[in-house]
Amino acid sequence: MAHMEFFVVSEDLSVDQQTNRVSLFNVLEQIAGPNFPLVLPSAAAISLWVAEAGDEGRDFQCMLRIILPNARQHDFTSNFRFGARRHRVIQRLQGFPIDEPGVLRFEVLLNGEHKASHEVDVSRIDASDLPPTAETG
Amino acid sequence: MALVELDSDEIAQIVFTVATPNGICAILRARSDIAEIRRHLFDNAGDARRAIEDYVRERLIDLKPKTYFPHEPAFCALAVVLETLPMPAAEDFLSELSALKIAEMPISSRVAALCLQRRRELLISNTLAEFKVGPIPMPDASSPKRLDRPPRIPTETTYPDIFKAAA
Repeated sequence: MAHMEFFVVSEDLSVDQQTNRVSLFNVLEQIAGPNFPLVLPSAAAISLWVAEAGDEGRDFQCMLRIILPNARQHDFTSNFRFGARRHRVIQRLQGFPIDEPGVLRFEVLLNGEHKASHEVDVSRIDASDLPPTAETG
Repeated sequence: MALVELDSDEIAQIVFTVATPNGICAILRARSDIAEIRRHLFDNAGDARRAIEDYVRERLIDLKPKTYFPHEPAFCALAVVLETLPMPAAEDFLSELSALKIAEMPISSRVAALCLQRRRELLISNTLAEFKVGPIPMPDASSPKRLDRPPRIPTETTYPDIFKAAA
């Protein structure tokens, strides 16, 4: 079965349409906020898969599993077939709510088999610790 | 290097003397001018589609029925240039040329098919999926069903009335 080269979760990413190059923006490591639940406005998980013999034409299911600090989990699945020997799966999330501080865990599974994880620390900070906003008027 | 370099006599000689598409691909891949043109297209990716389309259109004018297409060697070389370029214009050209089955261009379509096959082995394909997670249900302050706070009981004023006190 296909094997994985890497799995990373960032705030955003882009694939250059002319060169097919990937750029990641702000890899997620820590999230902090004064109030919970807080909303993760955007997250993009990318995994790169390399086909092995016999994988041509096979249907694969790539599942992004998010395990919240309160142990609730959410699954997001994408199916793909290898159009080339190497295949990227990019899964974007918008407006994901996080209920409480703790460890936010992103997992990737291929055909139900766990392959990799990415952990993000979620912490609470006082509103006074936040950087001051620009004054108006 | 511009695409017109592909019209060289040297490239034409290779295509005419080497009989098989595999052989043509192997020799053209090893040439430095092919690599330089590929690099030029990659570095100028924004203009690459227009450059490729203009180059092809200008030469297709010479495609005449029942006559060998004179620019076929250049098209073979262009297919090899584009085989590892990860841009949609390259994919379009190779797909269309490999699907072409006409007697006037007997070799270039087979060269393009080989380039397309190698391209599939080398380049990375993508699957993109977007998930919109629903908004968090926020408590509505104006809702009469709100039970987390006891109802307010009307009471007397608890602050001193300074005007009444003064009187």
